[in-house]
Amino acid sequence: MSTKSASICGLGLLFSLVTIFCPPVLPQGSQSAKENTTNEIPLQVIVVRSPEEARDVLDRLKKGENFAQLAREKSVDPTADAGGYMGIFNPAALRAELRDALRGVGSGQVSPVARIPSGYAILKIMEKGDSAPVKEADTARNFALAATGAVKYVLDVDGLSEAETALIRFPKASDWNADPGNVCELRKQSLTYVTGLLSDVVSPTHRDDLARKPAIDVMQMHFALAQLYAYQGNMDSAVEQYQESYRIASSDVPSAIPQMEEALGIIYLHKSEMENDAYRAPGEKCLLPIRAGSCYQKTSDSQKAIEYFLKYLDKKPEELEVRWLLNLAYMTLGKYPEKVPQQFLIPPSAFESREDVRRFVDVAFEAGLKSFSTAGGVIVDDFENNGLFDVVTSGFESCASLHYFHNNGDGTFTDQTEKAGLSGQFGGLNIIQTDYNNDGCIDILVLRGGWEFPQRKSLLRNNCDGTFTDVTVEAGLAEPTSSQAAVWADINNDGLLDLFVANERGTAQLFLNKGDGTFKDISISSGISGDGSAFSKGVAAADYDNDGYVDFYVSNLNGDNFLYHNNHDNTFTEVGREAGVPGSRAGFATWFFDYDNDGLPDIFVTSYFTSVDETVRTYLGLPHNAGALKLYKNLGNGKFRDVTAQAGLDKVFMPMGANFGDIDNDGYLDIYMGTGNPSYASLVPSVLLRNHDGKYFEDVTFSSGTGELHKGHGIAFADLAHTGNEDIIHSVGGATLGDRHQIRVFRNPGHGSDWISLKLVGVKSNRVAIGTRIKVTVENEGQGIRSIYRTVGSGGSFGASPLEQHIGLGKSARIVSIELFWPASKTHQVFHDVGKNQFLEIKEFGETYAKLDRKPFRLGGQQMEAIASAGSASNGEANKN
Amino acid sequence: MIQRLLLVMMAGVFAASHGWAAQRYAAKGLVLKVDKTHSSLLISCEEIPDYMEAMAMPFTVHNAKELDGLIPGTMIEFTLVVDGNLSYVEGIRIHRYEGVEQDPLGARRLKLIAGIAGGTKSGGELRVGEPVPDFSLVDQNRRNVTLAQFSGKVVAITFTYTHCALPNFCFRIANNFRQLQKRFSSQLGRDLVFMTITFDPVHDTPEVMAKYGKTWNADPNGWRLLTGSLSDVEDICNRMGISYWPDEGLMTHSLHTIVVDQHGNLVVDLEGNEFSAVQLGDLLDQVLRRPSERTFNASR
Repeated sequence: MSTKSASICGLGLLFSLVTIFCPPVLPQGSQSAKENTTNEIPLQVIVVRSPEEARDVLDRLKKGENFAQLAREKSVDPTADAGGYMGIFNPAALRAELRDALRGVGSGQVSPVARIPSGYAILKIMEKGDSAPVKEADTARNFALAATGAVKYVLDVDGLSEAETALIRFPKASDWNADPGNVCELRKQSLTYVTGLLSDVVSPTHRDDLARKPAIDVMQMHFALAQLYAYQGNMDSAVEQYQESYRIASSDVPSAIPQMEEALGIIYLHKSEMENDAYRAPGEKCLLPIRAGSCYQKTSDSQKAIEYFLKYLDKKPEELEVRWLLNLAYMTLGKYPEKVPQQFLIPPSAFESREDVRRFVDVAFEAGLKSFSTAGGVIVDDFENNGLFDVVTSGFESCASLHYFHNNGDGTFTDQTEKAGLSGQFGGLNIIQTDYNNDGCIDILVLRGGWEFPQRKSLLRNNCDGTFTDVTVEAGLAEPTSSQAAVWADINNDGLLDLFVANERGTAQLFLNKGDGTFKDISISSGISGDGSAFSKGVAAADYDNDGYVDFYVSNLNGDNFLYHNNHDNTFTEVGREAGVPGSRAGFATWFFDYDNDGLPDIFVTSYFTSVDETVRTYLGLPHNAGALKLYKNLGNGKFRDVTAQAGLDKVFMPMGANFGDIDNDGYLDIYMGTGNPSYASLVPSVLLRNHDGKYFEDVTFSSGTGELHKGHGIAFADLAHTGNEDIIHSVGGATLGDRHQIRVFRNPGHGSDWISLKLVGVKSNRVAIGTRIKVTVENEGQGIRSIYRTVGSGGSFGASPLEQHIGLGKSARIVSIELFWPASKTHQVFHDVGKNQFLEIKEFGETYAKLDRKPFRLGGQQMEAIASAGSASNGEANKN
Repeated sequence: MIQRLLLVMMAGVFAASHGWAAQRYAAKGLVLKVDKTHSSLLISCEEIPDYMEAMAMPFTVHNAKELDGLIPGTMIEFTLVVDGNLSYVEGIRIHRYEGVEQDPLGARRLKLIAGIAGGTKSGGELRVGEPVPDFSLVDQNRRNVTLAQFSGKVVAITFTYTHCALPNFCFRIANNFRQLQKRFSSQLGRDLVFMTITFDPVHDTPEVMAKYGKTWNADPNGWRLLTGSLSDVEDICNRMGISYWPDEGLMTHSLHTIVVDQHGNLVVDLEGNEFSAVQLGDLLDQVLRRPSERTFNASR
């Protein structure tokens, strides 16, 4: 290709023109960026500092100079030393400017010049004959060229970092983090102390001192104080201080003006939500899209938010984060879409689902599940062995205790935290259940520290009388670590549940259950501890290769995820790369599930790029820069295939807590994800994805009414009222006191399909049957016979569903057989012609099963009738599917 | 090299000076050397569009007071006046690094809070001209490294964490050293040493640093990628004025490139990311020249 034609291509002509003007275009099937953007192609790059230099380089290339040599000589990119070789690269993973530049460029050709932040870039698609010293793209080296380097992170308006700094610097004893109660005290004291000091420093009495400081520092002091107030939810004082820093920016730090305007818009919007009770009594007020009937009564703060967002957009009209927030602010006023300036409008089509799965209604208040909390976990399970699912919640906030909600059996719950002995259990970003001592009563593990600093875990033994005892120290689990994810699994098939803890800061841990109430730390000898650099945010367990031993998958914020294959001798080998399951980086919640019912556990893992900008791209149908969700299909030979794109999951949502269940009882597992990050700007909807026959996932968030805008963590799917439908329990709330939120309990409207619920009881295996494989073969009228597969567990890594397995069977189903496999005893059980729509208990080795007597009731109790009829009046449309 | 560039520059000046009135150009650059007695300074200039390429140039000022407050490493904005055969600079304004991107702004804010809250264990921040206390860390090959072992060499130090998520910050700073490895290939490891110190030693083990070094093609003898105990790293960073704060797996941090001269004194503290690798190289060139001058003077 001549340089002249290259520069013509660089004018950004329409694609069809490029193909005319830039011959030779490659024949079908050859390597070309335009042919298929999912193809990986070998690339070279030269980046220079000025456009003149770039023109000169293009000239020299045209004269036949060697690309690699020129790269070594001229390029300022880190690839220069390797002759500009980037490696085998998927063009879709490049920055948008480079993706565009590659359009119409064929093998052996060079691209026109593209302006990128690090300079002026020229790409070359290498030819087959070219020698390529680097096969695998070095992610770090290519960072300036990669799409992930172009991610715009959310603006931090929340005060979390400021409050953490206050705590870090506060004088403390060396063992300050050994006791959660002490952490609570220090958190309070440090916050009061630093807020007091800062307000004194910026008070008018110190005007002269302030006048001597650089304006940017004074602006920052007001901003810091504002953040600390915002952290505490003291919005009036926060607004006052943000205003003051804005005033200083306006007069002395003009470059900071847009950021101050955005911060003010965000803080006014947050204040508006608080004043209108969107956090304490959310109802429909924060379900996206906010419906006209749910708009705010107190409007002045939303109006202020709009004012500042518009000021910002006047200067930076392309910024998606602020455009999105502007649209939300109009929604709170009931003025969306009509009043939104046309150029900033996010079209209503962005908030429509293509499918109607009937609206889920939040009945948390009516059911007595009143938990107003920061980010936290949730366990739904039968802690009292009375056939009713109780609910336990936790909160990240250092001074909030666990909450234990006893199921009254009439559609309501009673908070019995005190009675259960849990009122002293402070903090805890996540909680999971187990039966570590095989006494048949479900115990609790509290995970603390999260990303912040090490804190002790709590193992809470269920005393089988409705109370719990903290046995962490005697169990040998008290060493403080920073964690939010762990999983229980029997790694050596001895019938005892062992514990894998994924730590965010520090190495991973594996504890072998000794069977006497204590654990042996085999983190090092088992080979799972890692080098401590992974920042693991999720862990899941399954026997992915069907060799009879459970394996682990660990999702990491830093670098590739780990797949630990069980060597059958209490050691593991990391095989993530060869198995093909690296994830998108920035991993968060993860799990094994058999999404396509082929009998093989597949892997789902989220990706946590904290970017509103990227998430908005999903709703606008724009290409993303951040890493997407990942779905890996188990191929049955120890390897997995990335089926993300074909399953419709190549999307960015900013997910945190997530779990799976079967919302429509079709036998295919659906996904619900809470979203956000600590910033008050992170107002993006939770996401409900419906699994279509194991082929693809359809976003049904908006039609289901589950698009909670606020921060989503622990999620559980559970049939709370024995109706045969799984409700969604969602622990909502952010990381700061000003971002606490009421829990959501989305009642499933029902879809008329059949189901079976199985409570499995281990005898030789662990009592709660974690890891037991279930195969239900059903015949659906007119649709033939199929099998549905489950493995007993609490689901995903953030949020715990009941261990009792609820299994959707589809319409007009007949259960041909239920087969169980217990790995610890290698026992197979088969039951034929089992009745559907009932609750069964099956014991390991048992010849028969027992039918459990469970009566359905209305979730939300008597009051429910009124709510249900009101709900159906406004959303009475039947399932169109 | 500077002389050669000067000739190029003068040719440019002549070419531009066939007009009658003096030409004035708004310019920006990094101060490399200040000579008050001769009212002159050496600047690594950024490109002046339609006039000259980026290059290191000596300039004179008409008023020596213009040089007040300037030290090597100061970023300045100024007016270049070209009048016939004469050229000089005037209207020098110090350009302080005031990055208003979220990251530097956040780091600076947290530093203010920490300053107010107290609780810093080590001594205060070093100023330019002060001797840098010795420290001991571990490099990418698990070798113990002290600052003192490089006495007599120029040491350039940057600070980072390896999973930094913004290409315009740590990445850019690391890429400066990578580019300069080539320019200083004959001196690196002999007269000049690069150090990159992680402020996330929990995650950035020597193995992680070794991998990071491969990304940058770091010559293990000339470019030491260092980690150590939390408290050692904290101590060094506090003295060097580096602030860093954990932020859910990422870090909010400030950016400094520090130069320690052959006598162990802190001679340059470049904050931020606004300078180019070429400018940093020009600055190192100047520091590298100093000992021979001093030694020469001393021996006389």
